[in-house]
Amino acid sequence: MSDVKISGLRKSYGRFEAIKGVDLTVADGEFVVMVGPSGCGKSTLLRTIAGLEGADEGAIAVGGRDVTHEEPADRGVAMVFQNYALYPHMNVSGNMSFGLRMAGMAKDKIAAAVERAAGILNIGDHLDKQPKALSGGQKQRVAIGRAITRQPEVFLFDEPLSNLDAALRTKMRVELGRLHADLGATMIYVTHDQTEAMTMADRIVVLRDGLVEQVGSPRELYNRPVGRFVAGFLGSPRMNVVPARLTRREGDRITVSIDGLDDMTRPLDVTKGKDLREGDTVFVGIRPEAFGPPEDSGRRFALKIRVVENLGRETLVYGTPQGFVSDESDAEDGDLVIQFARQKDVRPGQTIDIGLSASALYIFDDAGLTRSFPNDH
Amino acid sequence: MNTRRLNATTLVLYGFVGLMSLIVLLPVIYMIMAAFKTRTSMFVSPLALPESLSFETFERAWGVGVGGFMVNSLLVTFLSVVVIVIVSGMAAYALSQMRGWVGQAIYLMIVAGFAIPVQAVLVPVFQIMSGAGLLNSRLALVLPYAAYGIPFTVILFYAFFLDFPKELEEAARLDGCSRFQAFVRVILPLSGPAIASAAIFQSVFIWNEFILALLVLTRRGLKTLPVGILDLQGEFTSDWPAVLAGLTLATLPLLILFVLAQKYFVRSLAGLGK
Repeated sequence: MSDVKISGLRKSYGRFEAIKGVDLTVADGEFVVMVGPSGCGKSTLLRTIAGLEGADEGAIAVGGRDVTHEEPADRGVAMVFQNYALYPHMNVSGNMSFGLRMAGMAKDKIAAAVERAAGILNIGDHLDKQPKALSGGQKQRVAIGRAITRQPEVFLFDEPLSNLDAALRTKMRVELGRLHADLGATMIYVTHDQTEAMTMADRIVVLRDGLVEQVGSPRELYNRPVGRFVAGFLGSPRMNVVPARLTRREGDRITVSIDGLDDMTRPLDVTKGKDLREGDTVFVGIRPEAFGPPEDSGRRFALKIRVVENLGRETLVYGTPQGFVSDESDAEDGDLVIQFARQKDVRPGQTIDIGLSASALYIFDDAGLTRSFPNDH
Repeated sequence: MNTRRLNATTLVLYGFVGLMSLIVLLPVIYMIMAAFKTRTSMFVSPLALPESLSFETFERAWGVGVGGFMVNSLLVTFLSVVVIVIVSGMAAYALSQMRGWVGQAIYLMIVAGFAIPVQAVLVPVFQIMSGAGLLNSRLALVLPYAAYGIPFTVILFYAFFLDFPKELEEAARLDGCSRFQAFVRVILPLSGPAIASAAIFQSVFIWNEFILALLVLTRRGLKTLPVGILDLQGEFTSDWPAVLAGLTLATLPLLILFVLAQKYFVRSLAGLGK
């Protein structure tokens, strides 16, 4: 078993509290991705698991063994760093075998371990090369190989793909997924890239200001975010959020009104939290792909197009809606982002009709908690 | 118009730099040239080129003990530089990794130590060495030289280590190294430029240091080159070519060291001021 159990973990730097009490369990063989904006504590949490930072409070157990106060090398973890951290004065083979040499392993066993890892990662031809002679992708493979040779219980990845170009990042993402399937090892991966999180994770942990905001499968987090923060963080382009007013409440049904659109009535899915009353300000979340054709969507509004991005199989339209403004979106100045899952022949300056179905809405209260989900979620 | 002005400026600058170089180089050139002259020609035509390339003067200088002084200087310089590099390297790395004001305060105190002139503490240092019974021993030079070399070398290493990726030490710790092992096996092997320039800087200072050596060493067999050469002058008041040959021999090792390691020296100095 190589599960990881974190309980009540806290970590401060002077007055700044980087981790404010995190409880998290990562199952044996699971691929967990920790995401969050800069400064949310994700890297600190990973480094604390690795033993590179000491915990102020709480405990970390790997495979049922309390490692909170163990040295990094004694925790059964291996870490892959963002900038590879290969030893420049050793060749690839030296880099991959360094940990085993430090552990005093026999030479033939070291050679076998290096060969095995090099085989898995297709870097057998580079074993005699110095790190400076390798490309970014090869360096990252060597860094992963260095982790594999140690046969750790848990792999830790600290934004390992950030330094690679877009094409290589996509390739390495797939390779890491394959590696996880092949090794069946427990992996904890930190990134600020929600695409990496959505594509690779068994479960995603969203962190915010040193606390776990939500834990769940990628689909769970995308479809049923606990609040505006998670909803906005996952999904690209991000969710459009529009301010609205709660005009009526009848038991577990609420009616919200957005300026310029007809009222929309939705079920109150989450009753926990602030008691919603008529007149309260709420926020309506609409995914860019949730807008529909005006003829079969119930509500319609005019959108003056400002920017069009043709991405081949889809088209992103940034524009100003008539009658209301957004509070948050990937567009600026109160504009909306709308995603068409096809090529669309539109131009900036043009005004088009957009449809909006009430069943596609998220409704957040003014504390940012989700109170109503779209119908199919 | 622009090009002409640029050319004129460049010319003036080159002229100025050339003049400054001449001021530094002329005495050195004269020292080497005069070392090959005879006692007579030295006074009859002091600026003329030597008549032949005879090494007689060097043999005379060597004969009165320049060789022994050089060995003493080499020993004292080597030991002091080793102590300085090890202590400063470890201190600077620790300080460069420390967060918060404590590390900064310690660093500032060490930097402040650099501002105290050797002459200001000569008497206390002499008394300490005398009290410890170290007068007329090499330790009486090695210890103060190391103490005086550490602040500047810490500054030099600190600037180098600020740019040193901390992930390398962390990777080494995850690979099973203790902090000390990570320092010795990963950080030190990658600190060549900083070590080379620290070694050159301190070697130049220690090799040429005169006042402290004059105070604490009176036994002839232990004297370092600068103090030893002073004796040479006393014995050969009329043999200036031999004195200058002795000085040439004293200057040579440092020149060779500098030429060999000057690229590290420049690279490391470029990182100062961070």
